[in-house]
Amino acid sequence: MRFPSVVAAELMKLRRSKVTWMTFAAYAFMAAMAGFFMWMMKNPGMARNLGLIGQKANFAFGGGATDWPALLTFIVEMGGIGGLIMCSIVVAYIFGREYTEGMAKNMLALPIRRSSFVLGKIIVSAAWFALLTLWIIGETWIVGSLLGLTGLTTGLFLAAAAKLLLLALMSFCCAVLVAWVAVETRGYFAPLGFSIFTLVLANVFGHTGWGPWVPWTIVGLYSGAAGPGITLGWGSFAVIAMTFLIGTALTIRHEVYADNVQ
Amino acid sequence: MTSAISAQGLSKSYGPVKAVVDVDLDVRRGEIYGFLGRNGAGKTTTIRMLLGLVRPSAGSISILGSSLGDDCKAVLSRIGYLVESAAAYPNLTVRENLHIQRRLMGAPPAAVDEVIELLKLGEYVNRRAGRLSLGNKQRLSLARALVQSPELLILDEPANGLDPAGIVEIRALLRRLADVQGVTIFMSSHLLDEVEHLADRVGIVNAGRLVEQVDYNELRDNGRLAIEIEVDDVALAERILRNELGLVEVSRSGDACLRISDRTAKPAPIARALVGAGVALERLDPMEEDLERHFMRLTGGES
Repeated sequence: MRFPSVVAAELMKLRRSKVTWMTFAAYAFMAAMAGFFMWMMKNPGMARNLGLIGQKANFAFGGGATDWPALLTFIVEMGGIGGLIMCSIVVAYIFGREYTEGMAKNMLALPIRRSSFVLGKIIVSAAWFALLTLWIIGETWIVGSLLGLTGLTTGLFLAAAAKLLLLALMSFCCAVLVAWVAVETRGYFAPLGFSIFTLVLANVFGHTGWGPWVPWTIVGLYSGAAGPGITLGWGSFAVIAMTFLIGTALTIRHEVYADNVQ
Repeated sequence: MTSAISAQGLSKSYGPVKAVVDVDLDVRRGEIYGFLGRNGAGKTTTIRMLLGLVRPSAGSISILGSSLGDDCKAVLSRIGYLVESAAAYPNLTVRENLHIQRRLMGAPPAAVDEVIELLKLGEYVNRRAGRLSLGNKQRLSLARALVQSPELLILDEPANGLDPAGIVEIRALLRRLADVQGVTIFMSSHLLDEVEHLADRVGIVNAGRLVEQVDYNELRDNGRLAIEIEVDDVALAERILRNELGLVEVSRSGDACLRISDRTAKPAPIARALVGAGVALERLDPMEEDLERHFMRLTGGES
C-alpha cells in the first residue's frame, strides 16, 4: 500500500510551488482589505476625502457599525464566494498540473491504483484549503484586534470560525467537479472557466426559487451573501454531498478507464 | 524462457483512425529491441498500450510472463519507462523529482544517488527541473526510469534532446544494462542510426502495422541487394558470370555496367573469374542494403 507515499509526494509538489504561497497571499490580501475598509469606516473624514474608496467601504459593510460582528459577517460572506473561487483554483491546480507539466503519463503508469492518486489529491486539496481557511480566521482576529474593534465575544468568534470552516467544506465538495473537468480537459484553463461558469450559475439561480437546490448557489446562500434570514434545509446539504460524490466518482472513472493520450 | 514482451493481435483505433493494426510483438529477455517507424507510425500508441496507459481495441499483451490485464500493477512495478517526451515537475529539484519516483515505486533511498551517478546528474541535483536543458531533462527522465532497477525498460525515443556525446554515453549505458544486468530494453526510435548502433533485433512499424521483425545481424548478413560491376566487355563478362559462375540474375544497367542480383553472389569469385578471363574490371560495387535502405523500402520511402 503506497497511499501515504502518494500523499507525501503531493505535499512535496505543493511545498515547492509558487501557487501555494500565492493563494495564502491572496487570502492575506482579502483580510487586509476587509481591515482597510473597516478602518476607513472608523475614520469617516478620511473616507470622504478618498471619495470612491469611502463609498465602497460603506457599501461593503452596509454602512453599518464598525465592530467585530460587522467584520466577521463580512469575512464569512467573502468566505462563501471567495472560497468557491479559491477552492476551484486549488483543485484545478492540483489535478490539472499533472497534464500541463506532462507528468500524467508518468503518474498513471506507476504501479499504484489510479484511484489512490485521485483520493490523495482530494485529501491534499482539502488540507490545503482547510489551512487557507484557518489562515484567514487567524488573520481576521489579528486585523480586528489591530483596529481595536468592539463587541468581541468568544462565542461570536467561534461561531464565525465554524461557519467559515463549514463553508470551506461546502465549497470543497462543489470544487471536486472542477477536478473532473481538469482531468477530462487535461489542464488548468477549462476547469477555471468552468468555475467561473458555476459562479454565474450560482448568481442566476440565487434569484430564483431553485437556489437551495443548486450546489454553488447553496454556498452563497449559506454564507449570507444573498441576505440574512435564509435557512437551508437538509436537502441542500444532501445536494452538496451528492456533488462531492459525483465529482469524485467521475474523476476516478476518468483516471481509471480513459485512455491517456497526452 | 518466456518473452519479456509478447503481444498478439494488438490494435488500437480512435474512431475511424486506426493507430495500431494487428501487431504481434515478441521481445526476448535480455535483448535490446529497436522499434522503428516514421513519425505517426504507431510507436507511441503501442508503447502506451504496453504500459496500460491506453486500452487496446483488440489483442492481448503479456509482459515478463504475466498478462497485463490480470495483474497490471505487479507487472508495472518491474518496468522502467520513458513515454514520448522528457518531463519532470518543474518546481522540484532533480533530487526531489527522483525522490518522488523512488517513493512511489517503493525503491530504497540509496537508489536515488545511484541513478544520479549513473546518469551523471551530480552537478544538477539541486537545480529545479524547469531550469534544466532538454538533454539533462532527458537524463532525468532516464534516471527516473531506472530508479527501481527494472527488469524491463520501455523507452520512447531515448536519445531525444541529447547531444552527440550524450547519445554515445546513453547508448553505452543501455548496452551495459542489457549485457551486464540482463535488462531487456524495448526502445522506439525514428533515428535509424540510433537503432543500428544499439538494437539486437528490430521491429519496423509502418502505418500502424508491424511490417517486419528481424534480427539485426541477420539483416546485415543477408541484406545485400546486388553487386554492380563496370567492365570493358559487357557481353563477355555476362557470359562468364552466367556460364562459369552459374549466376542467374544478371542484367545490364548501362553501356558498361552489369548488375548481379543473386543473393549467393560473392565479390571475390566474380573478380577472379573476370580478371582471369582477361576482362578489364573498372569497378566492383557491392550495394549493401543497410537498415536505412531496408527501412525505406519497407515503409514505402523508396521504389
